[in-house]
Amino acid sequence: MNVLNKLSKYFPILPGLINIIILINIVIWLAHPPSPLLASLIIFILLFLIILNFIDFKKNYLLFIFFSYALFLTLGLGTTEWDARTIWLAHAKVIYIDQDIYSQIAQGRYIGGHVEYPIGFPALAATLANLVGIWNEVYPKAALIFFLMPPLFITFQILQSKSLEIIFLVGLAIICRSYLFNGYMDALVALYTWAIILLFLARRYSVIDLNSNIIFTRNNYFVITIISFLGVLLMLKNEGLAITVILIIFLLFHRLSLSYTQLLMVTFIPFIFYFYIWKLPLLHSGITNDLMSEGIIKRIFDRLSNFNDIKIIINYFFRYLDLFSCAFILNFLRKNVYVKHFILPISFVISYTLLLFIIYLSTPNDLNWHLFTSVKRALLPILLVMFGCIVFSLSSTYTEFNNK
Amino acid sequence: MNLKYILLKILIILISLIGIIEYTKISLSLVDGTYTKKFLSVSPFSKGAGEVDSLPPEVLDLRSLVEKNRLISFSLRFTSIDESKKLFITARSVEFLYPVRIDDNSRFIIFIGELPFLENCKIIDKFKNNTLYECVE
Repeated sequence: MNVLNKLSKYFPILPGLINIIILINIVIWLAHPPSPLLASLIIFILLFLIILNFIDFKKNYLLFIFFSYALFLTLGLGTTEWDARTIWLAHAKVIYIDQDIYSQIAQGRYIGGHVEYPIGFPALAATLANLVGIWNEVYPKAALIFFLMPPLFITFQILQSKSLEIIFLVGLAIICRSYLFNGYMDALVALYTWAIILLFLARRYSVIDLNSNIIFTRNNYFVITIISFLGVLLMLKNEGLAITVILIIFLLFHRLSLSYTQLLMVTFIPFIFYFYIWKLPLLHSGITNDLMSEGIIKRIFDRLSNFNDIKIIINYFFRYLDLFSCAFILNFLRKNVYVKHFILPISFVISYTLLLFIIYLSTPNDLNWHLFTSVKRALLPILLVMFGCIVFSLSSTYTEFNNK
Repeated sequence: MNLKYILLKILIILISLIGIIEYTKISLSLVDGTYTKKFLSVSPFSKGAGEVDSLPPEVLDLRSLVEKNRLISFSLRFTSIDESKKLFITARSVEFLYPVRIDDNSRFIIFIGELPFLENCKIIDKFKNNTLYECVE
């Protein structure tokens, strides 16, 4: 028990370690497809790290319930959703069957589509398949649990209140809905974005309670945690690249008491990893993003000059953002909640909304169809960041900082 | 102070109830997406688990024909099926049957639907509503 007490000091770094194992898994695939033994080792370490978080059961029992529920849903139902099947799990299947992490971008192998999407999730699902030894339509999507837990562990470490944890989990369900468990990556992108913003906020605007948290007391642990979260975010989905750029720009402005070397590490290591592992092979294969097709500038200007198109995009954005953006703004009317403390999330919300607006302006697809099929997923990071900030502003870690 | 505490407790209980409803709604919406509309009754790690729940019957029939005739590629064609269903079945077939490829230039053609007459082609197998042709150029 004494050893456990000593170890518990290091529990805050566990989410970062889970992310690092997820990233190492990709590197292992690059070197050689993992044998069943190595695959079982990877999955065992990931499960072990998650279970370690539950040792302090009284503190984390809500997350244990969430984890069990996620296991029940991902292992209890087949995979039916469109993108989950034709993109994420199809890419995992291609990696598993060909035992090659770049098989999906090899000419003429998989013709299902969106082969340019990153391989963070497919690589882990393929490792799970290497462990089990067969492919079926159920268990590979359970790999998403290993992505769901690290941002939630970080959130719970910082909120430190049962009531707020309940509110956060309820809000998460209302915002992300079935995207949490159906094999889509959008909820995971939103959770990772939120976790990184929360880490920035907590480092800057909290003092009490977090003094014992080594992520915040030791710069190196904070840097490693941030790098691991950014690395996974980049490898999850193309949106991760845009979000990472926005967050890094903000980090460079605020520095968060990091040294220049640490800032350089946070800025470059995730990008180097992403470009070397994924972007370079993509460029070599000559595969480009479907949105970056010829005539992108012309499409943007054509739609900008068409008021109806702008109106359609704004309508769709408001339909999903109205409630939470109102709550987000009204929250600043509360006593002791200052806009200046939330410049990061506010800048993120504005810049990412603008970016999405430009992306929809540039779409080569039918605008209505593109918005109808994707906008509610694309806006998830914005919604979750706005909701998360409201919850964070209620937490003792923030209010006690203000009272000091 | 006491009243405030009680009200807060009630509020948290209410929010928890909303949470239970929301998470139940998520599981119901996921079950609704499956063909059998129920949770698995077999091990999630067993061979073939979730196929009947996740895929349209046409694609499972297609797999039987492909496996029986050991095809490595085939051309998929339809008669009297609407466009959205064609797109759906093709997309599901591409990923489910991988590494078997759907290739318009293949000499093997599988028709889903009514039997058409194809010049220079002979029927080599049939399974339920699917017919496999082999064609010579």
